[in-house]
Amino acid sequence: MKDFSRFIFEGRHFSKERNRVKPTAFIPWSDSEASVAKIESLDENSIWQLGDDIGKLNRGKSSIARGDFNDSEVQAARLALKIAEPPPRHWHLIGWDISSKEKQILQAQELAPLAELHVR
Amino acid sequence: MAIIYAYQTDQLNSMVPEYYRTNQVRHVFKDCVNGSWVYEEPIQKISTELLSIQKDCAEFGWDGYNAAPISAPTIDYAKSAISQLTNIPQPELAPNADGEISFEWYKAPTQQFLFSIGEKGNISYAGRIGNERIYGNAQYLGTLPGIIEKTLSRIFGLTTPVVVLK
Repeated sequence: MKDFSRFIFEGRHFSKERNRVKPTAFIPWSDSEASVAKIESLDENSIWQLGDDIGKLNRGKSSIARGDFNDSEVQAARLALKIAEPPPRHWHLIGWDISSKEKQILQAQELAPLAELHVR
Repeated sequence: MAIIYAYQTDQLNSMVPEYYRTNQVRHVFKDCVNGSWVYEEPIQKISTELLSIQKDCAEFGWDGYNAAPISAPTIDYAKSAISQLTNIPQPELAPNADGEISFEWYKAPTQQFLFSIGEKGNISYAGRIGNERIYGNAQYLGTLPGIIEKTLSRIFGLTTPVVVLK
């Protein structure tokens, strides 16, 4: 069981066949932070509900998959986690190299293979 | 007469399967992930996928967060850029939150490569081969940076194509 999750709303950001989360699931846009959730001590239903709550904040979408990871794996990718409540359990994945996208891709390529894919 | 391009990744003298020699196949490559022979019409398949991405990602926030829409110029650039790479394994396509399109080749955590292209033809690429990190950016002006094909060749072990005339 991992402690954090990045909820995925786009089918091309993961591969069920190859059981992997793709780097593009993590790379943020210009705000240089990616929304994630702390899922520690939650059961499966509660985790997915959390994802739906995040989706509702934006386009009302339901998450279709998620990539779970730990703080130590985030650090391995030279990234960090910062609490960003409300909503409850909302955190930001920060530390993206804002100087160039290619370096952000590299960071995501470090983290994505460590993430554990869960498909709804 | 059909020309079959067969890339041999591990056995230089391996034969192209009979099926491909008898079905007027234009491109054949060996799937480096599972070792099987794969037949694709690469560009046609990618063009279809790009149009699908454009349709699915036309509105702000398509990723459930705050993604920028994928624009028509981005699709045009992506199609043109990937058409430069006809002799490589099929990439996995994905829209990016910043409105760009990415082409990804993934074999293992330490054997992966991705490049993205945006609506002004700006290219960002990054990959890993063992402990080596390869990254950079370029402007697409009708040709891709040579390092992209070179890196893919290193990852997938592609050699000079064997041309089989039928």
